[in-house]
Amino acid sequence: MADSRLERANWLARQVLPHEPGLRRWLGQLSGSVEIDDVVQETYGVLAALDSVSHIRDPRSYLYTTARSILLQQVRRARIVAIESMAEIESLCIHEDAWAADAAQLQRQQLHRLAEQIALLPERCREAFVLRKIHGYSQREIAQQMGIAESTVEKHIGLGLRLLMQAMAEPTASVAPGAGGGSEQPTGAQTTRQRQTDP
Amino acid sequence: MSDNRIDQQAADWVARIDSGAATPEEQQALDRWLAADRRHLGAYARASAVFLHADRASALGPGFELPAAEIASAQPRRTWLLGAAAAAVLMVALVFGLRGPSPVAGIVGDDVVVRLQSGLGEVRRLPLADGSVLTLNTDTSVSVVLTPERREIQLHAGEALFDVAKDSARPFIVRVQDTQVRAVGTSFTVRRLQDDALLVMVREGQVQVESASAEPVPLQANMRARAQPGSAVQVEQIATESVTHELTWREGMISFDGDTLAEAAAEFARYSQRRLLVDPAVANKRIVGLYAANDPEGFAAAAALSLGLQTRSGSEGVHLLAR
Repeated sequence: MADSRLERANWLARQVLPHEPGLRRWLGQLSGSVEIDDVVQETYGVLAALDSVSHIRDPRSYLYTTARSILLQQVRRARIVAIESMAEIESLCIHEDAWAADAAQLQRQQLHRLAEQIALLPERCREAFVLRKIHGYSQREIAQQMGIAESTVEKHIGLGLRLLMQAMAEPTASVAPGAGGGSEQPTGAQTTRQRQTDP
Repeated sequence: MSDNRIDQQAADWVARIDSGAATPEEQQALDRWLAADRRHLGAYARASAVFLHADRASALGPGFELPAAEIASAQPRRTWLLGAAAAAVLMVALVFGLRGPSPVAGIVGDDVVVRLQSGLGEVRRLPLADGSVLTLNTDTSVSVVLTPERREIQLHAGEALFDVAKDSARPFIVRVQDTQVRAVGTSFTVRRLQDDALLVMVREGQVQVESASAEPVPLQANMRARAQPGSAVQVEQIATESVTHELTWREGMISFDGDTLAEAAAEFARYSQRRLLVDPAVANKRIVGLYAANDPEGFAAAAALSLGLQTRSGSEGVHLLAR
């Protein structure tokens, strides 16, 4: 029996979302114009379409493997491709990195980012979003409290969510991904380590 | 950028569904949109995940008390003269006071006790002033005491999920009679069964089950314990997936994973007056899937279809029997 949409979203939120910044850095290593947002979107699409995820023991490497196969599909579709691109993608390694393995740590970091991002939302939008997500009121109740139309609350929630999605896609530290090139280790590794030891 | 447009559409759809006001036509439009492009499905899945992830911000505590804090500071100053304990509970009252009927509060000794309940078939999510969140499952009743020294919840009946904000100076204790479950920062459920046995399931972190008659038993994430008055605590390891399954009630759903129809009937009875009556001849057939907790009829129809049974509606409930 296929998981429900909500159950899958829950799984994505817990098991995949924490690894998204790492995945983006990893994709950023590639030379040439990789549309990272497209690849990430398609990757979530594949994970959302799976019948079940109960067989996935290591969500992180599953995520990376999926993203890599999408990259390869895109490259094949483009037909005219520098031969190095294929080799480059094939050689991206997905080994167990100690620095990325601690999902709980990543989730905590992401939680703090989330806190900042919510604080940065436009005022009315933030108010609606906090009432919905932190205090658990329904959109209808929020409309009554804020004295605005339910449709306006819905717009605030939609906008807030989109801004959070966008924030999540932004680099977490000031690195130029892939600038060094040629390095076997993902460029993000250094950054992650630094962020983790920061107080 | 094209991806931004898709993200915005996806976010708008999530907000629409979240309003609870989407019409069947809109549902269909969403399904068509999702089927049209894998990136739509991906953006929607990601938007849903980020939206769920945002629920967790409540675990951060003080930074997220914004609206409550604003409301509190708008109150006359004498609020603060009531003492920290009362103020903490008042904060709870302020948070809850906004949504319909205010909780029943009373004074026991020096403590202000707030009584919170959920009705049959109702699931309530209740953030506390300390940043913790209680989610009450159907037909559940708890009392909450928050003081600067302790956080204490008495579970009178039913089941609740506790997402506990970290505060090592203030242990978070759930009591059921003389058994207590102690946590620092964690997420776990406690369910009181008919026979006064206790089921504790830990989703994250660590808790300790303590009772007068036995040694404390520590529980880690993905462990479940059954405590019964007068007997030893039984502990079992369960899969992360099972923990997720066990918590589908938060979304008003019941999850079955090879449970018998008899077990399913008992589960539905927790959520609805409308009974599911299973003929003994088919009571041991097994069922898998996710069902709306308040819809035993819908479950019966689905079960009949997949197991080759028939349903019959009666005044006392819906019967499920062999064809």
